[in-house]
Amino acid sequence: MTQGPLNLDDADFWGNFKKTKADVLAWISSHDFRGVLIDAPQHIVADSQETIPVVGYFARSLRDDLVIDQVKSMLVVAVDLDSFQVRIGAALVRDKTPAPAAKPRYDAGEGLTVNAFEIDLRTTLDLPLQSARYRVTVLLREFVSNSVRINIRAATPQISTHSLASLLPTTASNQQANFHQHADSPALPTQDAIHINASLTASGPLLLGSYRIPVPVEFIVGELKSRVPLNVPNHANLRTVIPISIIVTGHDVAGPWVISINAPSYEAIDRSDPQARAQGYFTLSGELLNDFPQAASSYYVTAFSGGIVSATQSLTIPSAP
Amino acid sequence: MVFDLRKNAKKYKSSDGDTLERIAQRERDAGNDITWEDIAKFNWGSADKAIVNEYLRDALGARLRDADKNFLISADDEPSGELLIPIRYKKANIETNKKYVFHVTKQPAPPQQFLECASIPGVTFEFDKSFVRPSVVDHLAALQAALKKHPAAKVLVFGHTDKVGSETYNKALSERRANSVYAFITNDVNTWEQLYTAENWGIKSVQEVLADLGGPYHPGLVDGKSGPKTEAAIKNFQKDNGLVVDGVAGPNTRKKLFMAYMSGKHDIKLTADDFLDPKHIGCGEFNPVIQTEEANEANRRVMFYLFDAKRPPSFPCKEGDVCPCKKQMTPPKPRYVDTFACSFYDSVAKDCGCEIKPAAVKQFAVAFISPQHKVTPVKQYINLKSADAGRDALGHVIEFTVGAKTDPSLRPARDGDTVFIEVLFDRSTGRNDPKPKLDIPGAQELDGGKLYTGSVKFAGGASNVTFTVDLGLAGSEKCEVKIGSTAKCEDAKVNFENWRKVFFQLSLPQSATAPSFTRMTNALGEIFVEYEKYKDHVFETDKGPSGSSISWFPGEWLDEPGKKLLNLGDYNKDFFHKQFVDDKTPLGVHIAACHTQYDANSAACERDFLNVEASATSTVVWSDGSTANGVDIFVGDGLFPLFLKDGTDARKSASWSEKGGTGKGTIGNSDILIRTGALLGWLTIRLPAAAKLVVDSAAGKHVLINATVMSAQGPFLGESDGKSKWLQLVVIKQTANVVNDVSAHELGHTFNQVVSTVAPGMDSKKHTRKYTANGHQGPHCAFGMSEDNFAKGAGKKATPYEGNFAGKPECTCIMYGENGSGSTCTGTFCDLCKPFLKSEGLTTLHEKKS
Repeated sequence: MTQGPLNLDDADFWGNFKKTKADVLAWISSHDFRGVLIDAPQHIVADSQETIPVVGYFARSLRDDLVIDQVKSMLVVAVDLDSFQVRIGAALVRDKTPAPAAKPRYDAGEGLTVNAFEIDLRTTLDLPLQSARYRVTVLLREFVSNSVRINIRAATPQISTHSLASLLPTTASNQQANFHQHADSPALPTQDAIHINASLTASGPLLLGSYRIPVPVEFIVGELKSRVPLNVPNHANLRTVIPISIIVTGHDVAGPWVISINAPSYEAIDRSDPQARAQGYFTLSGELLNDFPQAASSYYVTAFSGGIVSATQSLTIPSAP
Repeated sequence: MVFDLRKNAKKYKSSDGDTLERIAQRERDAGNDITWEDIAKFNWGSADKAIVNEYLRDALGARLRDADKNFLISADDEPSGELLIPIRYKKANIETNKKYVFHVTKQPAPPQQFLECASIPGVTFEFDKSFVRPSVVDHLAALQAALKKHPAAKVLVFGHTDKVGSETYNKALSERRANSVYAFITNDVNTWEQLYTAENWGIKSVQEVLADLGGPYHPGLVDGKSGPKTEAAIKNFQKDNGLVVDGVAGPNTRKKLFMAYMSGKHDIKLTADDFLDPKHIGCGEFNPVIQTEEANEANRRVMFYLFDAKRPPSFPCKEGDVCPCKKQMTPPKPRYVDTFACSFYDSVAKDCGCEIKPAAVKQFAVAFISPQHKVTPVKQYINLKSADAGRDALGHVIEFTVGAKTDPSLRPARDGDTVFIEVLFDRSTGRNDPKPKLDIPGAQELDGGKLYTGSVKFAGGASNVTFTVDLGLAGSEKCEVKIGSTAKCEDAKVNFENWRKVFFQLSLPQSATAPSFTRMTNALGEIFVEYEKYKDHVFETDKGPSGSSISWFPGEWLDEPGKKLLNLGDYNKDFFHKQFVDDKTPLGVHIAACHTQYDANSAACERDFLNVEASATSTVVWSDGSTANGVDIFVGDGLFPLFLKDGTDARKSASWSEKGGTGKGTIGNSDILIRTGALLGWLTIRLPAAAKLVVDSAAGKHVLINATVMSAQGPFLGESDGKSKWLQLVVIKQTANVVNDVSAHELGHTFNQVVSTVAPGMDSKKHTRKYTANGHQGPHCAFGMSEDNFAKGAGKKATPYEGNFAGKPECTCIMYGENGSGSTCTGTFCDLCKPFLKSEGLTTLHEKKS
């Protein structure tokens, strides 16, 4: 199996992923690419492997290299495409005590420096080697990698027993979220997507979003809806609930900060329609963003829901006057 | 004194208040000059008061006593014999010149009636039952010994009850007890079968017998409940005794069981001929040894009396009838034993040591038999195997064995005696799994698990009882175990303090010297970890993994000329670790010391530099001091001339191309310089001649340099191996305090600090200064940092706190993210970290890894 961004066979991800390095460097050089490029095996047979590898290259200017600590800043996000559950963690951190050291200050110029990296999602995110589908993305400050999909197949098929309530993130403050259109809300996407706007108001950060997301059958509220504690408004007329995770990382401090919401939809859904989509708006502000970083710095906001990843929006918290 | 012929003696007729003295006085008044001694000797051959009293009781049926407890005769006595009043012999008109012949018969002295006694104490019987429990054996042995001593004796069995129930019921019960014992001695299983049915002995008696037989017949717990173990035991017995194997103790099985019980180890060789007639008597409730209306074990007893076969007492008793008993009770005093109502029994028992001083029934107290500890509190290691008595595989579960205190003034333990237990836990850490507890059936948990109470009973004739206490797996927790023969639990106590013991072996590079680890062991002692070195090892110079010659690198690279320096990293640490794995010793933590710590196994070690511009104005200083056109690139501190992982040249390739042109070429290694010493981390590339021609060809002309080098990642000061959690790397080239703090820090990580996972029952949110990343790798502790600054650093306030927590002198905990030179670490774990560190069980650190 081939055709990932790094043009690797699935087997190459275990020990031979640099075989296309020359081509990758040539592409990076010719495109003057700055950022993170990742790839992963499309299919993993759980019983024959012990790791879930994600490999990639990080390209940055020499000038950036002096100020970016790749190890401390790189985050990896895996979204379960069935449950929409999000796992996020430091991609490269190991439990070591660093020796105090300072990088020199000099004019490093605009040249590029590139290094490859490997991430084992079993180690970093504690992902089980069980049948599942994930979409994986790497965040590194303002750099957001491409997303890749991994299908893990266990030799013994597992029966999916997802229930809506068990899939949803527990967000006690979900009721504080506003799911109506705001005057500055981004327009509803015409294709499957999440659009977000991040801004700073007098009362603090404001995150506005709109979404159009394929609805898994499991997320359509059935007859038992009245018994499911979804913590959403207008509960009786609820038709679907879409978990959306907003992940924030920082320029100086990686974080991450994660805000999880359950976006409700009240429009009728045809369970038999494979094209069924849920769409709507969300507005996050005030107490719901209590955990949003407030130290002066630049922050990068990205929303994830199932296989959909939003474009990253930056938000700068200025120093206090 | 000589008396007239016996046939001429007068027969006495009972009269109220008579004594031998009064009878004699009347005779003297009437001219018959005799004394009471004359009457006694004439009738019974002895004027001994005790013997006279026995004859008054047995022959004349006397039951009343005077103040000196001598029997008085009354008119309503029911004599079983007769009293003759002798006539003083007188012969008148005897002449001096004649010869007379007098024939005189001497009355022989009587044998002693009471010879010996033995008892079967009450604990041999259950309430309202006559089944003889296994503890009877010692008492029967005493009986057999007594008979051996008195071959002319005959035995009489007296049964007694306590006062619960009616007099009539208890009379019958006491008779059954006496009968049951007699049947036991004479192997009379039919009588037992009758009693089994009449008293509904039930499965418990079967279990007691099976348990006493033991071996394959042991039924497990003797609880009166049928179950698989009991059924299996019965089947085993049935199989071995030719019975139908159905697991049910029916009449046939019971008979064989009872016979095995009676004729087995408890058998004594007595027959019916060894007993008086009647062979057994029941006194009911009338002669208790302890005056109480309650159920009382001491009162439920059976007595054996040995009497001379020629002079047994004459019993007023009648089976199933309390009337004769009642008659003996009037008047109630005086008695030799105040609690005895029956005058007859009281006088019979007056020589019986078993009955006369029953309350020499001593008190009972308990003591720990095992484990015994000379020093308390006991420093209990809960995470490793213990050779101490009663410990489980990890030492935190202790089985206590308790027995009666050995003191001459105290009695031994008996079946049914209770040991009361009180266990106090301080529960100082909050860890709740395994839960510290008193682990016995029926234990009561109080005060949120800080107090447990319970009791166990002596049973089956055993001299010991056992109970179990689980101390839990949290270090520092304290426990007090108290026992007693009363609910106050005042007899004995022992205190425990939970510790974890962790071994470490220290490996040092050859020629390196280890600092004192006192600072570290003190810090660990505060979290109740005893850190003990059990082995030293030396890494020999130039030894490294196969195919690599660079684990030891030239000291020149770090301005230490002439030395060989050992680097340990992800690429070679397993090799060095395996050198000192010792499968024979329980393994704790390995501290592998090294001169430097760089990793060289990750994909990121290969660094590519693309399109780095050089021109005629960019100059570099070469190693010989000359200058040239080129570029200096800072790669990082891990850039050495040889790649640490495999010793190959770190310069992999370099090339140049003309910017905006077609010129290009390679850059040979002679134009690539990897810096060392003070310039460690720098890569200098000078332009080869062809490239220099290009940049010199026109003003502003540039060439673009591409280069690939191999660079290790680091440096680090220490590492807690994330995979196996028992290997720690530490850089020895630091001050003693730093080495101590880094080692303790990495051990803290091995103990899951800072709260990466928590022990059951612990609340990770209580560590209010935990941070992750923020300038350091992994979860760490910012204890000492103000709440405001912590909040700022965590990004929750508008004012920044410099973005991270690195280099904050107020952070003093060992688990702060940096412990290098200049650190203000105080060498101790902070109060936020300590509870979590104390709560870790550390039970797997001793598993052998290979």
